[in-house]
Amino acid sequence: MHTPPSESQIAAAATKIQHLLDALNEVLYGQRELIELVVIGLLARGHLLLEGLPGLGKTELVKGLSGALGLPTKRVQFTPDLLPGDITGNPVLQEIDGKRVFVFQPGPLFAPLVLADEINRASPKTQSALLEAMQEGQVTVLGETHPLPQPFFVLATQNPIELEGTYPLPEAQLDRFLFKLDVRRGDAATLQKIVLNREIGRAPEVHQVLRKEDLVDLIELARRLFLPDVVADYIARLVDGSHPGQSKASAQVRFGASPRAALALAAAAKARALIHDRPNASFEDVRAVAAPVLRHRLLLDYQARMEGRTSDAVITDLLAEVPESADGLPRTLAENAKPETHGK
Amino acid sequence: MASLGLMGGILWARRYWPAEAETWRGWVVAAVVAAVLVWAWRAARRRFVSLAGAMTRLESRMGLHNRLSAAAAGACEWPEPPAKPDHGIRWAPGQTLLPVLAAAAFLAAAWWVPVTAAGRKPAPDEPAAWRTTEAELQKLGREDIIDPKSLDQTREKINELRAQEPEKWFSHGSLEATDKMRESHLQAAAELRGNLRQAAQGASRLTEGEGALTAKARANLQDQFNQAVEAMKAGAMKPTPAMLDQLREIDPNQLGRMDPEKLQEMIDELREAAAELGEWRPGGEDGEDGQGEGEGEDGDDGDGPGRGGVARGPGTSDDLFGKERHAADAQKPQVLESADLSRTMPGEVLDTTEVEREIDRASPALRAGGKADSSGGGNTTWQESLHPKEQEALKRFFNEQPEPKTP
Repeated sequence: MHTPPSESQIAAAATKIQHLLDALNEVLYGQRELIELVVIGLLARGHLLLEGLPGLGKTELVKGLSGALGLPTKRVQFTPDLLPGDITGNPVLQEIDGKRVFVFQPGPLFAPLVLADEINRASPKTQSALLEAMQEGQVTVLGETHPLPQPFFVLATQNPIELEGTYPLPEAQLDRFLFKLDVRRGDAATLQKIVLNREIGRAPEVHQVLRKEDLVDLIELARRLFLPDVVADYIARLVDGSHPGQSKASAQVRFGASPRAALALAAAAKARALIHDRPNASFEDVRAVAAPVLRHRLLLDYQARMEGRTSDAVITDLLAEVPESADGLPRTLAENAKPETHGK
Repeated sequence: MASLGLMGGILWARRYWPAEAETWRGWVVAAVVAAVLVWAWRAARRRFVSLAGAMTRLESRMGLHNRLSAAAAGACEWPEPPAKPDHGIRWAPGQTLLPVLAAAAFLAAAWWVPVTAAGRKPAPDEPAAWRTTEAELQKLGREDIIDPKSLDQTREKINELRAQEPEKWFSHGSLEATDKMRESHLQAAAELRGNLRQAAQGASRLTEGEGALTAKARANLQDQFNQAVEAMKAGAMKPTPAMLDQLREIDPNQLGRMDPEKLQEMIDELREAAAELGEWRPGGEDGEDGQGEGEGEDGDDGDGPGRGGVARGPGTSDDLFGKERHAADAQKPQVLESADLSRTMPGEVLDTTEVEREIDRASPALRAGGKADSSGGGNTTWQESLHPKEQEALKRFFNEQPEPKTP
């Protein structure tokens, strides 16, 4: 049982996070929600899978994050001929003191922030090498295990088009990602702002707003945030309801979300509460992160795909179906129409 | 559902539990009602809104982001109470009042709907002979003539009979026993009265004929007195111990030498006791008062036709089995009937008259084709009702009547 952080600690953390958000919003226009989810993912110590068309700013976002946090960043462009050693590192034969020995040369994974661009173009062998790094925080080469630097984040991107010659990520690999974020294009006003403030070939200027130690503290603070029993119960019922036969919404689901999804929901809800300067996670936080947490963990059946039903539609129905409170009202009581919510 | 079950239970109790068990039934019904209420409360408790559930609803309703739940767990401070709380729920009148009203209606119906009690019948009135005998015993006990202990035996018999199931009070065996008990009781009382009279008579004659009695007559009277005293001692109904001791102390041989006043006082006491016994006793036994309980067949026991006993009918009807008609029936009006006037006895038929009848000779018969036939009715009978052979026989009978034969 962790000691919940004080309200002053939470307020200070929220201020720092707000600076980070402001900095990132200066890098990527019109993507406030996406940026908030990316920061939530960082605070929840999760890896993120960004899916979107080319040119929407995915790489710029990672670069901006790197600059705002002052963390070294490595970018790997995944291709079909990419080998596992290309990302984990390779032993190189060297002569030291007259002896020839293999010395491990770390690959691009040995950086706190790794951008795995177009991850679905790499072979499954390479993808699985990335899997160990994401899950265990270490890589093993020639029987020798090398720990990765902490914090370690993988922000992978994939293109929803041009799928020929790609290797879709297996379910086990997808489950390692905390969020799968859909990057959508902005509206006309956003485009106008981009045209006015950006130039081709010139990266936007980003100032560092947080140090690495600050990020580690924020992650620890988010971890200690209080999760009420009723919210944990809500998360459990949501994840349980995602399985076939457990709810009406999951009628066309072949496989529901894993317990890792429940843990991801809890961690993300706490991180979101910290961003919003609240001492505890709430139903609203869970609902806000439900779609990015669950959308890549639900495997729909053939019928759903034929009907064009997406995971997001299932999640929307699930949120509408599963009540916040497990205890229903007695029949002698009726609920009034809900007014607009207030409070922060 | 619980109220429906309860209603059924109450109706069942009202039907199958007799009214005399009212108090006990009331407690049982109250216990059942209490048990049903406890069961209903326990069943409904699972649906009650819990504290955590109420807080969840409140914070969800008021947009508090689960702040109340967190504060209740000690994770943070309680938020400031809102100026206008909104719990967001209201009573559902249909769901709230309907079950309550229905339950009340069911229970009221269970209490007020008329139900005929079944199963156990109310206990019948006990036989009148028991009450009569008990009243007599009570009166005898107050007279200070009879030893109360000698009355207890009869009381015990009555109590034994009363201890039976009420359904058996009027059974053949019970009524026989009642009859026997009452007969023994009356007989014992009659014996005691007779003995008292006999003792008083013997003592009186010995005193009055002190000088004129022969030795043999005197000895007879002394025996009479002694027998009466011994019979009283051995009888089923004994005089009081004080009276018995007084009689025991008397020596019939010394009666002449007793104080006349004291002797007369004793004789008067014996006579009074005998007279008192005679006041309450139903008559009939000695033929003095009549109205006995006899069978009514031969009139030996009383004047009346007999009323029947506890175990037998009122006697054979006068008209059955050739019994002689009772004199009391002589004046009853009786109907004289005789179907055959040619065999009536003189006096049975008062008068006979001849009346000429008017015969409608117009024939209502119809001819073929529906036309009414205006010919005589007799012709129609002849033509349409009788076969030719019958017509022939009738014509021969009426037209060819033989002349009466003359000897």
